[in-house]
Amino acid sequence: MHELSVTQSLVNIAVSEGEKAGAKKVTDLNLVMGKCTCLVPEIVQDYFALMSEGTIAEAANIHIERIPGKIHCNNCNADFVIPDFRVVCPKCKGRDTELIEGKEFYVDFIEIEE
Amino acid sequence: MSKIRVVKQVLEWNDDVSESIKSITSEKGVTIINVMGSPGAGKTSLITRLIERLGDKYKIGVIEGDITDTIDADKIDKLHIPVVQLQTQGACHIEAMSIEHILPMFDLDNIDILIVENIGNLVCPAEFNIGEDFRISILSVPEGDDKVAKYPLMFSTSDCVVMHKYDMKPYFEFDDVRVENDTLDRNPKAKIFRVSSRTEDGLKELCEWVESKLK
Repeated sequence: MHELSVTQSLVNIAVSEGEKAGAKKVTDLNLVMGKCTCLVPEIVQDYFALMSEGTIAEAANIHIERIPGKIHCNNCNADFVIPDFRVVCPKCKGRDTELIEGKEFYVDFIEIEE
Repeated sequence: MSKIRVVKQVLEWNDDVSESIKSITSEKGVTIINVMGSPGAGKTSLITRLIERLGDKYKIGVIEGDITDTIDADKIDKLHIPVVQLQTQGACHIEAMSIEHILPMFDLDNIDILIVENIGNLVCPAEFNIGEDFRISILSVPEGDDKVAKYPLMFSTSDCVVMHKYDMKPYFEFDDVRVENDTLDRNPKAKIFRVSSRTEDGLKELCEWVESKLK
């Protein structure tokens, strides 16, 4: 259910950034979302359609780019893509690792009609 | 048609407020603890025990997050410490703005530890920083030993995981080693405790760890 407050934030960003650029309409919004977050993209899309009604971002298409999790293993001194939230090194099986990608959650760009 | 580069964090509004809470609490020497777990995991019981054991040494305040009602706040109120009930009116998590609104209700010069009991939920609260200094996640034995694997975000973002109601272990097929491994696989720095608020086993170790994390 926290998708609701997250989506409100997306609408706010789309509208304020669109207005700043002098847009008549925001047609597309590109969202980058790491796989190590717990949001359901489909729900975000559905909520956006509802919550953007009556704004310049109404009916904008949401494109979501998912970034897989990636760790750096301090033992192997190498980076590895991980399939889920497990930050265990696939090579040495050690846990001396840092999560370096997969927690992204930002609006990358919007497309507008002027 | 033109493309506008934005690069704006979606949760920036929440994180900004979380940071401003942190600057207030560090000036006042207050440590905020975010306590998370399912409904029925024993969050209020554990908080009560922490207050009983640490309350003589430190001044403690509590923010009780619930969707509605004041059942938990009433329990804490009986311990004669400052408590504020935060009702989210349906929302599944607490956001930093709510904590920011509530902070002035406490005399922060007379608080060392502010414990926030988050909404009972294993998913949503983990996404939102609320100005906390550290997070404690509670997983109770009756909930089952597969919950870290199934709901990884909360356990992967916590500083400490408490296997709670540990006295119930003989009655459930609960593999504590699995929970420990599942947690460390996702969060190698997490501290793990086995605690029973009823028998009070494990509380001493947990309290010592909490004390080591205070400002």
